Amino acid sequence: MWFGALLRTLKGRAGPPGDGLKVLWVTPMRALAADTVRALETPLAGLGLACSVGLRTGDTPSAERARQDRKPPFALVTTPESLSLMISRADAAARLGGVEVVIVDEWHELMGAKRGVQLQLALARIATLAGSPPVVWGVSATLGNPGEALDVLLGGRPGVLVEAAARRLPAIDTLLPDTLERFPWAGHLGARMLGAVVDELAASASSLVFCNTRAQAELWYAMILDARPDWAGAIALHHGSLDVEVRRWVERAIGDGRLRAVVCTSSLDLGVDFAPVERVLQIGSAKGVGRLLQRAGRSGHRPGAVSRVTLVPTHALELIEAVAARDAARAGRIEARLAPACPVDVLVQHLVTVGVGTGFVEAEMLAEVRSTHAYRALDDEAWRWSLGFVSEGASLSAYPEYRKLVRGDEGRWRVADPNIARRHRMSIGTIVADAAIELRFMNGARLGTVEEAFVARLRPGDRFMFGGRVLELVRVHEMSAWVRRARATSGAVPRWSGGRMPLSGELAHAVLERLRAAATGVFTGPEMRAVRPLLELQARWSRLPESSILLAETLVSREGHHLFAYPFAGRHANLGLACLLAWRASRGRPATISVAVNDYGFELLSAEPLAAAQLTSDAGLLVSSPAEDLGAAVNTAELSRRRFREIARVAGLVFQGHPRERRSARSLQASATMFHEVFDRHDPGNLLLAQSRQEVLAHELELGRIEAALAGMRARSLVMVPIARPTPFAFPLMVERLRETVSTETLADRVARMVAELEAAAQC
Amino acid sequence: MLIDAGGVPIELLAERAAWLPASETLLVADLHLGKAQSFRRSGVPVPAGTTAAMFGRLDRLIGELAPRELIVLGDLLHGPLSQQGPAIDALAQWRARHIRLAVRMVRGNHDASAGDPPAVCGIEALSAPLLHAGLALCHEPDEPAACFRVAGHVHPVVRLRGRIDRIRVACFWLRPDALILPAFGEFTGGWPVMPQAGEQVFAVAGSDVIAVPPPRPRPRANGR
Repeated sequence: MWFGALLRTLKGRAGPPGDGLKVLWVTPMRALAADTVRALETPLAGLGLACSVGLRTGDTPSAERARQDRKPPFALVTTPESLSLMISRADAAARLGGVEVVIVDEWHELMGAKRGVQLQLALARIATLAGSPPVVWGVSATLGNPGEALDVLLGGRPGVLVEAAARRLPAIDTLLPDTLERFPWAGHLGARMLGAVVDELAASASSLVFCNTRAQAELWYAMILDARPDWAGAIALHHGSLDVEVRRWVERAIGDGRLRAVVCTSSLDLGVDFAPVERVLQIGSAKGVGRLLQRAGRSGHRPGAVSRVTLVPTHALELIEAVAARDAARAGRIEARLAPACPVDVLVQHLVTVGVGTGFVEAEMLAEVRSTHAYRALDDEAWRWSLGFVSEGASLSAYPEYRKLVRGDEGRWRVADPNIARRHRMSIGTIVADAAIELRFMNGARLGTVEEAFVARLRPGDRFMFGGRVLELVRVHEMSAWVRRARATSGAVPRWSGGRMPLSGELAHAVLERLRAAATGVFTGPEMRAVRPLLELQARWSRLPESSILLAETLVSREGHHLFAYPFAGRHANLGLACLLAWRASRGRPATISVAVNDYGFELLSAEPLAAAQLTSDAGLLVSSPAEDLGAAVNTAELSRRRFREIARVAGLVFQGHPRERRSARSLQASATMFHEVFDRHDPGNLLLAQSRQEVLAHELELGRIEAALAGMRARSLVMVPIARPTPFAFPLMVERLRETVSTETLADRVARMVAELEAAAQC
Repeated sequence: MLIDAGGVPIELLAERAAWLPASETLLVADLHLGKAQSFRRSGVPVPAGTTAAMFGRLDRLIGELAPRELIVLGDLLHGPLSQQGPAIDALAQWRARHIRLAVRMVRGNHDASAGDPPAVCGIEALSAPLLHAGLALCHEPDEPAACFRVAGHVHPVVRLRGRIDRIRVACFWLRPDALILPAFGEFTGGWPVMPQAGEQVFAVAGSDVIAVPPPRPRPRANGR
């Protein structure tokens, strides 16, 4: 590809290409950028070409950026965010107008996210600045919808899809627990498997151990080191919150074959391949077939070697997920990435970005925006609203004195206020993170970052684990937490928030297939044989949830009245179903219902037994046409408010900035919750509110699947089983800590009920 | 809800204000007039209507209680920009509707940069503490004073947790030495209070003020 780009840009030129930037290489991760530059430079030297390759990301020092500004490199490796920053420059036309080729690396990582939309808009801008669309090459891992990936990247212009010849499927196997009796029914740590994992690591020269969260990675690193103290120095930890220098060191060490194992998170999903890695272990379910294959592919790069991934279940039901993942991989059922449609927040950010730079004329900009896949169906009304929202005009009688973009000569929209421009540049991007606190040793050395909310709960002297060390908090000062090493061997583990991966539809389908077989007494393969006693216990205590019945279990506990149901619709649609049923059940009688979901089913928990009673007696709970009721249910749940956090940040309402620059912006700090409240009350027609509801319905609840699931639930006969204790399928739901609340009670009633509960608890 | 604040009876109102029945005085804190406007001028779109809604609440309170005096416990204005424009106009218009009402304020940290409201508003601005009816009225709760303080500044909110849900609402925070009022203004945000032994919070829940029972001893952050 790089050679293709070189050929195209050098063709027909006698000597080296003229001045100016010709090739853009866009990568999703800053960490990849430096490696990419090295990889691109090597052949240039060999060919004796005088073409320079530059690097421009958030980590690039300002001196280097200034040097690039004076003498632009031939090719530039950058990220979507840094590309948008270049667009926000007044001389964007001079910088980007000569770009002939754009290469988008790891496009599958970007296309399903708002970052991909940001990049689509940037490509459309480059096409305008250059006078014609550049040649765009996308590079993607295997995914379920490569044709759509091509369309999204090119905005519908014709393109060519090149697929690699038949790949060899990696070996996928599972570490089985010794005895299922002592294997937990829920949880995510998987400590029971430590011995087996250590044995596997000992048997290979070099392994990667993937965990699904940073907290889990910290704990596994500590556990392995505890089991094999002699491996100190031979194993390492790698996750996104560690300082960049630490990560670079670990990456080099794996590449040089100096490490036996690295415990890592998705931070090592992408990037230059490490030849020495022989094995990949995946702790817990990978939740998706594509992700599993990608991680497997990080191993076996020596000639003649085969990629191999070993799944390490953390609880009993993950045995089924493990075998299902292998089934789906063999059948080639890999997830599709769905591209977002018309996100208003990204559009308003982009309009300000261009307004900070060259400015734009309305009609031209509308055509440019509509040339992208994301906004090809943008209607006039939404466009006018978006432009109005970032300018003085349009519907904004509700916003006196507000002006961000101002229309100047020849009808050009620009940002006139330099303070607004500066703040906007600092908050370009669509990656939303919680406020981060930098961790530093007393001598000033940087360790990485943790979330402000975690540090806020600590007092000086408290201990916690980070980067494989136990640290003691000394003090917090100006967005830094100063720490020293603690003598203790254990401490709290920071919890970084972050979306939990739902089981993909492909994987959920494969799980159902396996359960269907189990219901008829067929248990094929070591995983199914291992989990067989558990499924038989489920059948004994209740029923095995299978496709001919809709199983609902009821349980009364100290917490209240539980109802468990198992529609097997996947985590998202199960959440939609649960919210819908909770709302319908509490419509007539005000109540607050707590909802937990997993990929198999959901739990409704209420103070009164209404949910259970109504599901049996009232078939109306399962009637179709959910869209309207679901909209109402979403309003009563916290879901859309949480979704709004990201939207508020992207749309430039909540100023995030950089940890080290945040203080200056204090006077303009307001939380997304405050914006949600004030829009809700004073500007209910705000499209950002509508977007948060729409995103919840489409992405978090999967409206399309809910209708089908409801129909499926009606078609099955309802079997209600009162249970004396939580069953193997109910237990993971019962201990689920991430819960939704659907409430039709008044605020006063809710507070009064909580206070009564607190008083009752105080008397025990 | 009527409470005893250092020997002085105070009525806590669900409108996020306090009433001194003996002296017929209405207390409010942290109006932050002009905050939404200053956001808008800086290019952050906050819809108009917060100021009007707040004065609407204040009008209703005055109509119901017919106070002899209104005292603002600081942060009447949000910043220097509040001195001109619609926020100060709204304040002057509100003042004209209640021309007989005596209005005083103690200066808060925001007032220090915003400056005193213009004379046309007829609000006497004083430095904290203002001694009134046996209480020290101030903005910051830790202002040195000889008697029980009533203050604002922290915008207290309380997080409540039930068996099946949790919620965050504005609250009054009663300490042995001070009563802290919730912010009266809209678009003001909140700071979560964790009451210590000997303290009590009163949650503002819709139309009610509800006493929250004191917390049980909490394990340290490290424990779970």
